Amino acid sequence: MTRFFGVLAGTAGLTLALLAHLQAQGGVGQIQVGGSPVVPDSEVTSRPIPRLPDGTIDITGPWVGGGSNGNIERDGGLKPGELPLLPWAKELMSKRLEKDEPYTACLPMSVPRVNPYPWKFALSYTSKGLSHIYVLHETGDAGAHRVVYMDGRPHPADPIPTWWGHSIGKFEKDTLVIDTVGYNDKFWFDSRGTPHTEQLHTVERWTRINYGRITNDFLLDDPGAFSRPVNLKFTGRLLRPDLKTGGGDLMEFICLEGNEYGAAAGFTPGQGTSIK
Amino acid sequence: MRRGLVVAAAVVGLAGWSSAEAQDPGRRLGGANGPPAAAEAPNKPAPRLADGKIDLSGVWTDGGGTEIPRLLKPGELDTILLPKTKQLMQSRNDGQDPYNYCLPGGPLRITGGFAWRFIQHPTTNATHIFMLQEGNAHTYRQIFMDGRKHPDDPSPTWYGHSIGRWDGDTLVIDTIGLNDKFWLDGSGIQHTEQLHMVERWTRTNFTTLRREVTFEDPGAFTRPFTVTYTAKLSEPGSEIMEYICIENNQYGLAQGMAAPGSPK
Repeated sequence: MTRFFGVLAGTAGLTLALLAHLQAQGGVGQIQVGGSPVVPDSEVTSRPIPRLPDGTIDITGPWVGGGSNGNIERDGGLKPGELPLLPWAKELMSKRLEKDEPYTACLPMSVPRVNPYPWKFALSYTSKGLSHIYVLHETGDAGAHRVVYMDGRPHPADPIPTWWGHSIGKFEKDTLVIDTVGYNDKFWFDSRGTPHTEQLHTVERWTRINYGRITNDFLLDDPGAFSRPVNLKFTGRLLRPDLKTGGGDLMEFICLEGNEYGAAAGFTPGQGTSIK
Repeated sequence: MRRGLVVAAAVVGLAGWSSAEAQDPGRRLGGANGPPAAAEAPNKPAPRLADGKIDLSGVWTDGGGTEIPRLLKPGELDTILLPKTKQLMQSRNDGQDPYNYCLPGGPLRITGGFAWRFIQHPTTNATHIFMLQEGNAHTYRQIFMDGRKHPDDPSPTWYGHSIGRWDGDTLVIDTIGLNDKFWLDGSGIQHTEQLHMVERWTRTNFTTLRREVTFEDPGAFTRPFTVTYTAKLSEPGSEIMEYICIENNQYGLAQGMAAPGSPK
């Protein structure tokens, strides 16, 4: 299955995205990183919002965006400097270099990080109804999945910190609410290196506002790195499903294969990226 | 600080989190690690979804890990492999298995490495079925259930292009478009991009999944052949845990071995 930007979605994709980032450092020509084709603004209400046969709003996607990428303040609707980072966190961030982001070494990008490539919600139905929602990313480590438990269970009292954390979700009318704790502190919120701690607690409220767009009202609550909770807002755009060359489904991307940036270049994941 | 246990979880890849296992980080990766099996329930039938299709959900272990030579009659493998395939396999050793470098194991071995799941998405008349694996590259396999055909000239990938349909209560998955980079099974059987796999998955009872796999590859095998695997349901409450193969990987990259396919 190929599409116009198929070459970007392959193993070259991540390298090209990084080259685009680094272009300011000179010696590297501008490369158009198109990412993935999306439903344009003019067509976002061209069809009704789909529902699944049981009436649940269809939030499947695939979506492009809907989170932070290069700059969580800009991507999330804040003014520059508005993020209330504590002094130690600002200092750590100032020392971080874009090239060291763990995600570029094929480690998970976690929440709310996205990139120009699509992802989808996969709703897992069982004989007992909806039990899990998985977030499947096309890229971001070797094909990532995040799990959201939809069976009403609570968070564990003392979760082991993981890259994706422990997520529990429920539908409030047509909004999917995801509450997550148990994050480790190893991933970055954006390629600038905005940090967080294991105290991070996030609440996402995903609402498909029309056929072509989904909003993510994002509460970031981390007293270890921020002086107060912060509300951000991201918008995801529907992957355009009707291209002759493909589109509409996630493609295979194996970050570690032919990786010339991180792992194969001798960069050992995890070094120098933890705040401990 | 739970740092020690986090490392153990990353290396051992526990599901179902038993404290006895947590204290033994020396257990090797892969193999039979995974959540405890559910109590056998041979008379309890497979559950069904609202649309009548068999419910394949649950956390499963195995169902594709047994090395193919063990599933064939003695000497049978020798009659299946083409001479060039035999020659290529002779020079293989475990150190070259891309699986050990956190590269995907391919569609057969996605059931290896601890626990795995089927995701039938969405509710009625699932358009996609995903297979999620706890171990290895912690990635997913995508099976299109919407009636589409294979592309005429697929780009070869690690998991290929899979289309599925129900044949009564059996899920039939047809896969082409596989690259030749992964080892077909743990014994190192070599295949080519001509590989065509047909799987027939039947939940024979509540706790058992039977997987019949037919391999056809005129570039590597003298004839098609079929082997059967069994997956077992894990005990209630089991979940796929997070496992990040490349994190703290002590075997491949961290020892200075370049991942297969990487520039030297």
